[in-house]
Amino acid sequence: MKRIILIFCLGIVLCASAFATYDLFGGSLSFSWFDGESLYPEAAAYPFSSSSALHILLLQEGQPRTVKYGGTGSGEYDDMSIYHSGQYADETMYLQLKTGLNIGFLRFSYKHIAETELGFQGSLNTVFQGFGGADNLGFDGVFFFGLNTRIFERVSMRVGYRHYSGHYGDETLLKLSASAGYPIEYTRDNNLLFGISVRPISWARMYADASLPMTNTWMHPAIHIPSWVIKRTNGQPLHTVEAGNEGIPTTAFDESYKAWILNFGAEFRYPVRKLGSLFAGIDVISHQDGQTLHRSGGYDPGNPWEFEYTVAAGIEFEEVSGLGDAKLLVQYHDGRFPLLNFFYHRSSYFGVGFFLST
Amino acid sequence: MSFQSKRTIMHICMVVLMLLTLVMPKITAVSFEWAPLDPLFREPLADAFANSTSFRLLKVTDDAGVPDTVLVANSETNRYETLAYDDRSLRDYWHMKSAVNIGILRLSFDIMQLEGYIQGGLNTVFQKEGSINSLGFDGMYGAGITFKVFDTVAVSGGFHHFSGHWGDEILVDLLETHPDLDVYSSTATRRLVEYTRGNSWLVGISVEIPAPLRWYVFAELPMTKAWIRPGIHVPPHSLKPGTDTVNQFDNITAQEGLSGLSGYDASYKAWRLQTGAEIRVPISNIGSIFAAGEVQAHQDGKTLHQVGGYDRDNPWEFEYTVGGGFEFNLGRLKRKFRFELYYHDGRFPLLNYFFQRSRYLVMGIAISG
Repeated sequence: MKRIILIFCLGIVLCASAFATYDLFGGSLSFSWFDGESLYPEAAAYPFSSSSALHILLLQEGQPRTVKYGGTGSGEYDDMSIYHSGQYADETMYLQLKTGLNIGFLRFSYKHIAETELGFQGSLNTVFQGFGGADNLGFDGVFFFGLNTRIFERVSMRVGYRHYSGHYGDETLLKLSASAGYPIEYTRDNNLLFGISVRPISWARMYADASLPMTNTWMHPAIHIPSWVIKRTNGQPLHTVEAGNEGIPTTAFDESYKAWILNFGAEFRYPVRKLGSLFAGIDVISHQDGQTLHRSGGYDPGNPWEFEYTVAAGIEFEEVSGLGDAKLLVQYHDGRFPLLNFFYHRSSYFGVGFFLST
Repeated sequence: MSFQSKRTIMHICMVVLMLLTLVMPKITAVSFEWAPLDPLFREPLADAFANSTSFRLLKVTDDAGVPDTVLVANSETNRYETLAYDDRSLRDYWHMKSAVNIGILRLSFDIMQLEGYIQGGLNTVFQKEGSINSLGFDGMYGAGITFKVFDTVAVSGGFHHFSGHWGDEILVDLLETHPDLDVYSSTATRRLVEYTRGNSWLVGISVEIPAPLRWYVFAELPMTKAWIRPGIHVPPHSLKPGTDTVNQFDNITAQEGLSGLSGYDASYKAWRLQTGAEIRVPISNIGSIFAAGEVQAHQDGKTLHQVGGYDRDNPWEFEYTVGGGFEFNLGRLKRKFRFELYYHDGRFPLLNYFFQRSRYLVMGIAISG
């Protein structure tokens, strides 16, 4: 412990003395230790963006009423009902709370023509029922760590690790505590993420991300794990190990199955004097794990990927330069319920909320 | 509204009017700012539940402070009891918090500023070893108004919400450790106990005289109609929200399966008081070395967190935090990034572990407005 404290103190002293905003080579090259606005902006319409949100959801279809269980002895994932039959079936309101940030460290900039930094994004996401005892459905942790690069203040690129970790809410889980087996979870620990964002004109931005599980990684559920993923601790094929744990047969995946997640979209801003901008955005996510149909024996290489669609519109308040600040948005989403562990629930909803992103 | 209340309000209005009259000559312009990201009332540095974003390593300094149990109410014994979910006596944890505190609209009148604020965040602790299980998640949020004058004295008032949740993975561990445990069915004799304050009134004052020293005080009082857990923390005057007659102490203790309990005397209101001081010493234009210390006092500590434990002569429960670090002033969006190290003697930093006294060191990075 003493060693950790010593390293910590040394880090502070070194950072304080060595890392300021420096202009080098006659001002053409600058260096800064920390920036609260990352070189790679977050997508406002992406449901798991590293932003903060107070978001009211009005479900149109797909109320989450069950939790998938593994290890029940049936050789399949079994849906356990959260509610007594018919209870709350007409309820549509949910509250999504999310807090997150998107920042940069160790930024080098050459006349703002070329800039690079270590980027960090992190967020915690949760959804509560807007009815009954306002029970909590779950919590998610999502983060990214990697390298961000921006060219001519127009084109940003990133590469690094993306982590997804779903957790069920205690109040939801307790309702199922008498069930045999255990709830299956959604984990990507970690994926490799590649992204590009292009702002060809000041009012429009387009972006695309692609993420792929690493070879040595943790993934859940078993039915999503490609055959080439290895368990870190013993080098065994992770799919076989986790399928055994979850009590389902192993799946013979085609080589083309890699559990890719592709995400792309566009954002548009129309400046309004003394207010900020009118904002519109569209986001599309495509999951290769949708080919598994999220059930044992469901995988077929001929199955389609699973798609999610989100459109958003509203006001972006004037605060600072760049792309990040506060927004009041109305959204429509057709895709997975916005909690990682509920990946098997297709939902559509209208949402209205206050968002803060950097 | 009683005559006495009306007279008090009139007095307050007169004082405010007099103050405005005094400062009016200094008012040269009024400006508006939408959604400023740097709140007029800054978050305390040393508060574990401040609305800041942080990623920190937490090391419990002794076995007695290790959080490896949950609290349940047992209707058969009519007592609270702890149930272990882990026997490894883990000392190291990751403490992660993601939170914001921002203004919605700020009005500036020369030397005075008035701001509506909104704040909120999620707080979690994970084990550092093994499967990195989550011990719990906390939700906190609030909103209100801050008035600041001479850029030195800030006064805020509003509501505040605290809600503790157990981690899913430790619940699974708990059920594996106690295979016969039933905490939910209609015949269950044990119920998980949670910590909730939904909602409280929160007032605070922050003074920066003499700069760079800052001193602050918060007082938090549960609303008369509020959801408060655990049952034995509920003040005697508290009512169930949505009703005018249902006593909340009776309601929540009954939900926990407890019976035959009587409420406390009128002096018990479940106050939470918090005060602290901070000092920043600028280092060139890079940032500041800072030191911070804080004390929190919980009136609910008088209950000893046990059925029948309350005695009006019991002491309040105190928590102490002291530490420091380095804060960089290079953040855009007016946010500050800092390295920090604290020593804490008090409750473990998850709301549902209010019964778990811990002494720990915590160090890492934090960002706040």
